[in-house]
Amino acid sequence: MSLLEIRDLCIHYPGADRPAVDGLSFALAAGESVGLVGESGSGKTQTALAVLGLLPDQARVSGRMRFDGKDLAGPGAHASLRARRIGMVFQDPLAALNPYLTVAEQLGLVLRRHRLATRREARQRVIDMLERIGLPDPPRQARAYPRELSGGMRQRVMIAAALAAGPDLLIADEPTTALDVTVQAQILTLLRDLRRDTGIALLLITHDLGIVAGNCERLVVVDRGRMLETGTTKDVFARPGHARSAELLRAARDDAQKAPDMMSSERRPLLGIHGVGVRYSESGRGAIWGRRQLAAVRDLSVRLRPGETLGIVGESGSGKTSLARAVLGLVQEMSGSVSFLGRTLPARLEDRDKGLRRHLQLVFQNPGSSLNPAMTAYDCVAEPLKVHAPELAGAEQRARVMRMLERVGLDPGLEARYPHELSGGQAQRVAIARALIANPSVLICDEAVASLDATVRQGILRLLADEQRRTALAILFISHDLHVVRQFSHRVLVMYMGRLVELAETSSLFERPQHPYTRALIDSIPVVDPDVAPADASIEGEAPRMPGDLPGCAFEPRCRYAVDRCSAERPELSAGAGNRVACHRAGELELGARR
Amino acid sequence: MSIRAALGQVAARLVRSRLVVATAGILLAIAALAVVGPLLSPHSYLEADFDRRLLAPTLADLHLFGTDDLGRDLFVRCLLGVQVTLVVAIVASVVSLVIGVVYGAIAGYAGGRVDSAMMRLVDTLYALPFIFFVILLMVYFERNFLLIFVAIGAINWLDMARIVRGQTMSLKEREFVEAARLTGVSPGRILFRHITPNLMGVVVVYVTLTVPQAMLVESFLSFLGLGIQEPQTSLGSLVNNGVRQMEQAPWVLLIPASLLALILASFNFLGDGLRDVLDPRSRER
Repeated sequence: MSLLEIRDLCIHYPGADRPAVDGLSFALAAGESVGLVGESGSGKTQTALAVLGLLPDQARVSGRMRFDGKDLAGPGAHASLRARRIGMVFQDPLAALNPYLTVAEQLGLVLRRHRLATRREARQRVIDMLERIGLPDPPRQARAYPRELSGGMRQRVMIAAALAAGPDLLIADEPTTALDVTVQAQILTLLRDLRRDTGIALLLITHDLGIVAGNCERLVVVDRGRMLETGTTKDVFARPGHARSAELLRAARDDAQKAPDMMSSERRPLLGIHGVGVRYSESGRGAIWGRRQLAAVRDLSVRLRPGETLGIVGESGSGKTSLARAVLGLVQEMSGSVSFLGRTLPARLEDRDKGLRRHLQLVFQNPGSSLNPAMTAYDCVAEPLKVHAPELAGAEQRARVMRMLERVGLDPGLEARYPHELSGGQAQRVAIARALIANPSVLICDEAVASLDATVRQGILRLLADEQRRTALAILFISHDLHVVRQFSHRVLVMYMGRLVELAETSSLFERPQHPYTRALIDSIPVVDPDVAPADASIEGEAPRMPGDLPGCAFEPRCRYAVDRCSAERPELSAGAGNRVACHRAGELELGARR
Repeated sequence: MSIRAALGQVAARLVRSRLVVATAGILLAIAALAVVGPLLSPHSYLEADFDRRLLAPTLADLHLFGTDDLGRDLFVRCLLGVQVTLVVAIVASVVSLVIGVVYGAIAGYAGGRVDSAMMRLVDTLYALPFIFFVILLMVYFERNFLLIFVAIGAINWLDMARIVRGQTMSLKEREFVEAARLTGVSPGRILFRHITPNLMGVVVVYVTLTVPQAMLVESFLSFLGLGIQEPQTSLGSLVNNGVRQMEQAPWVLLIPASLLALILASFNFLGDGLRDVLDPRSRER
């Protein structure tokens, strides 16, 4: 018999033009792991909330939901059944944990709510639970507040809370989307271990088919509230039964957009970054000893040629965005210099004249915050023209803007829309049009496709590649998503705690990584193939938030290949052709690619 | 073009809020009556009739609200009071809006020393005892209709400037402002094209809460005898006058007092309603 059975579930909000969920049916057996897959707006999260009885009051729900033979329909029905036998893990653990309670207090509350422990026993039980989910030094972490934990640690605590009452079903809603790939691999490993040890069933909600491939036996593909198909992961991956799921699969696999071949590479470098360092000073805890200096980027040099895409990867906090901001002149304090066509640029944006500013443009991650909510798409795109070509007559300006909108693939009918009336992909196209209309030479994309669905992302990457082909645009492509970087970049720069650790041609970097950190990043990408057994996380822990100046290699504490020399002496970046790498053991290690 | 469209959207959202529609309706009705009413009545606000002092409200001779202690028609005088009170309050609010927004936006956007200097001036003005300040002004310049605007505007813009400065400081860190800076948009244009339109939600709400505040101040000054001069009148001086007749003719107090309360309550509810409509955070729930 099924543990969870959903039949004809419909969720409708008054005033919405279509139901959030429209006739969804699937079942999940005890101990089984099912992936609920779809892009944003497909109704995945609504389904989970319906099962948990957490939908807002105005939602109109119909259909049957049975858990272990008992009817779950109606708000509040079997609240205790749900609380005890279904555990839930949300995407953002910081929002789901109470900021005013320590880890021990929160988990203790869960235990006492279910009468699993008295106040006195709770503490020891909590420490046992933390041990089980792999938190280092549980007695100390139990006293911590959520904000004192790293993202991965918080998500582990969330999982511990969900498992506290010994549920039969764990619902995880995008549990790793907000985390770095390395930490994602650790959390997925933890979930696999827990399932092996306890036999708990898992409903994994995700947009990432790579995660489904390695972690789910069956999957349900949903799109715009409707179920497209369901089947075993192997079958659906081998023979998708619906055009839309085939499209999702194609978008997830490698065969999408490739970066165009480089334009003639003999020209002098367009952009030079020479020994750039960025420091932030921070007051706060530790301020007794004065303001603390935090180095976000340390002594980094690289050159960018016209028509080249340079990918920049690294975990969050590795200094990718700070490097971009330094190039753009947006940081307060910077050492080293940035040159454009051989001319050294003033460090501060305010000291760069309009003609210079035009050449360096930025596309942000989230168009929702990078477009002015009070300006229409047309006004957003027209503004750079008004600044750089004020002599243009109204009609000519309008013609140029409309041509630009068309070039980025936007329906001209959308010109009068405000950003919030556009979809994420459309809004990002407006942001790209705004960046491109003044004919820049260098475009910096800071996670520019990270918040977009996979199919939309491919469209944006195709657009950027077309622009590059057309104008020899150089692109600095910052991303935490190695998959996208691999597709789209000519060369890749790997950063760890503000330092360049490896720089190489894309194919060489992915096939023959020389630095153990690069290797670990590559291993962490989920493979979009159910026949490949998912690899367990290959590095432990997370980059420290407050990096002090270590005498040796910054990666040494997490490196499995570290020797004595690594903690004593800082490795220099190797020179010459091939991969340039900062590792003492670069030559001797065999780090061949996994695939 | 874009501002008009933005206002259109806000208007559409406002219509959906019953509280806003109802209170705005009441205020518009009162304002319309205040303008039209005196024209329709056979009496004027000046005309005293000592044979008909302190008449109770009656249809005879159309003394709808009765008469006051000098035999003047209270209906016309109340409506005149509403006119004066509303004009004073709205003009004072607009004055404080313009000064406060410009001052606060410049201080917030400039930041650093300019900001510190500008805001210390605001702090200093805050520290002045307001009533004392107004009495001094009144004594020095004689009583003057204009002075009431100045006095009320002078305190209200301080709050507005602080609010706008705080909003500006958070808006200037937003990515769309950075994008404009990267493009080379001039600071003035950033301030007025990118930041100010995004302040409007907060500002509009704050103004609807400033209007009743200004009305109260005006009434308070008039009640103290520092405001409008006879034979002109305002709701505050009508209430002041009514207090003296309270025992023989309570309607002389109750009618203008209720009108004042009704208008104040409407503005406060309108402000609350607008805040709910315009504040994106309250819309998520």
